[in-house]
Amino acid sequence: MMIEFRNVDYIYEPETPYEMHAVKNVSFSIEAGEFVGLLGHTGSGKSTLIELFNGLLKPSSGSVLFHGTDISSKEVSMKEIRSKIGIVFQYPEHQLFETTVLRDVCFGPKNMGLPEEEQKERAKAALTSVGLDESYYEMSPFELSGGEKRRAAIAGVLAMEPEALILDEPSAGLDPRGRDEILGLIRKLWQERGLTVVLVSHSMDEAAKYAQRVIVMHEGVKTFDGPTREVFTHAKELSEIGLGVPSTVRIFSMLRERGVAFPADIDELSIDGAVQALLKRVQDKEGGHV
Amino acid sequence: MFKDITLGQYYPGESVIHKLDPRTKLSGTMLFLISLFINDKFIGLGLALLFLATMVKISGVPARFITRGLKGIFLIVLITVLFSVFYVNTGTLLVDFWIFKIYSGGLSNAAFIAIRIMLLVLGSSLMTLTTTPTRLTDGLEKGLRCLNIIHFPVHSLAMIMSIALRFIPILTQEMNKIQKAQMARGADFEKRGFLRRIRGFVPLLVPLIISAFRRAADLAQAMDARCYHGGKGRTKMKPLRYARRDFIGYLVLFSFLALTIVIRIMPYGY
Repeated sequence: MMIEFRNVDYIYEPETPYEMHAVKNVSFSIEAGEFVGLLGHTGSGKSTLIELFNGLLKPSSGSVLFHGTDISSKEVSMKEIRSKIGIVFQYPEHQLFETTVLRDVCFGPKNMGLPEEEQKERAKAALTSVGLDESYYEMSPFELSGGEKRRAAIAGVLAMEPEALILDEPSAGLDPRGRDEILGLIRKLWQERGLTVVLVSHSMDEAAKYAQRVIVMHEGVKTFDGPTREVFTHAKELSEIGLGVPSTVRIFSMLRERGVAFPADIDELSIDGAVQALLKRVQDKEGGHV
Repeated sequence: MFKDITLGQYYPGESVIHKLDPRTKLSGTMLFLISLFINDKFIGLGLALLFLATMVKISGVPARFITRGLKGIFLIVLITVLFSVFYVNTGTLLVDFWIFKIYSGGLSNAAFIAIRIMLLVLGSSLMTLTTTPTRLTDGLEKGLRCLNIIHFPVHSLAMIMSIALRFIPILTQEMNKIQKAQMARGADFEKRGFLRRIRGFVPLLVPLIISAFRRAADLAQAMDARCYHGGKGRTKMKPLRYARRDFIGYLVLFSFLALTIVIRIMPYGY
């Protein structure tokens, strides 16, 4: 077990009129190499959960474990935890500050105390893996386009070579093409490097397309946790908490309601799978009647 | 680290103090501050303390919120206290050690000044804790309207102030966000050494300033799109109007001030 949350509670500004119980008794564990979608509406506590992952927030009660050790215990070095659990916050391009892209990406490795040569090596490798070539190294991060800035910022976290990558709505504010590019990039990193990925999102379609497993948060409570396909069978409960299900799943459940039968094992989560199931159905019907 | 900025922090409540017209509270705070400087006797300060404590009690704001403002001025109080302890040489000599001479006059003077500074801060905290920044600037704008005669840009100033106040929590939040993002990249904001510490703030300040500019440009555009053209002919959704409680408030305030003056001209007492 790589990351484990044990009965974690988090309360903001306790004992003031602004007190907010953001996370309530949440437990789960994430294995190395998993691709987990963390879903929830605005205010569901998912953003708080992210900050608990690497000790930016300390649980009000309960504990967060990394490879079996409590990260808030005194023997654990926060710097080490933060380099091993990389967090890419929402709009990560807002954190860029250096004069050149390469130097900005070096910031993480530099803070880890690595020698300058290695800092640069890691930064270059990270930039290559997000698809930014040498021509970008000496550019100011503020000259880049929106999508490029975001990729540079993600490279800034990757350069620390974390074991797990947690991304908070990495596709927010991008156009559809930029969105596919970023998410495709994350999937590639997961497949090729065996990185553990937690993708935080409120888009069901995104989660359906990329995640193997889904954790759903609602009002600070973990509501669902299981394989993506299984969680999305709870279409009704999911719509009740304002999340809904992926569009393809919705199409099939509406068809089934109207009496169109489909086998249970079709791939409802991807557009390809949906198209195939529908085509097969149409062909069967044509074959049967014509 | 940046959580304890109390400026412009409002403590929601339903008390009479919260409901008072902001102008009443502004002039009330002014009168309170003036009264502190009129005072030259401990009994006067005692009266001021009693007055403030009553107001705090009525407002329902917990004492620890009021006293939070004191943390920031601790150093100032300490320095003033040290100066008056060592430099005032009236009264009887109490301690005579090497080059240090402490007189009774110095001690009482130090205590007097310390209490006065603390009351100054506490008094203004009560106002900002019970008044939203918007109401506060509304009050300022209307209360200072008379300055328009000498072409003093009251409206623009009030607008600038309310925008600045409104942006404090936004920028604080932004700063926290950026700080967290940089900490996630291993940044350490508690480095030792002055220069290293200053340099450590660059990853925080550059993004913050950029975001402030971005927000300013957005806001200017949004105001322009809503045909903002300054204060002339602009009406308010909730115009300020004095209510009965405000007259009572003024009455209480002036009685307090009168009492303070009486104590001041009293020939005896401490």
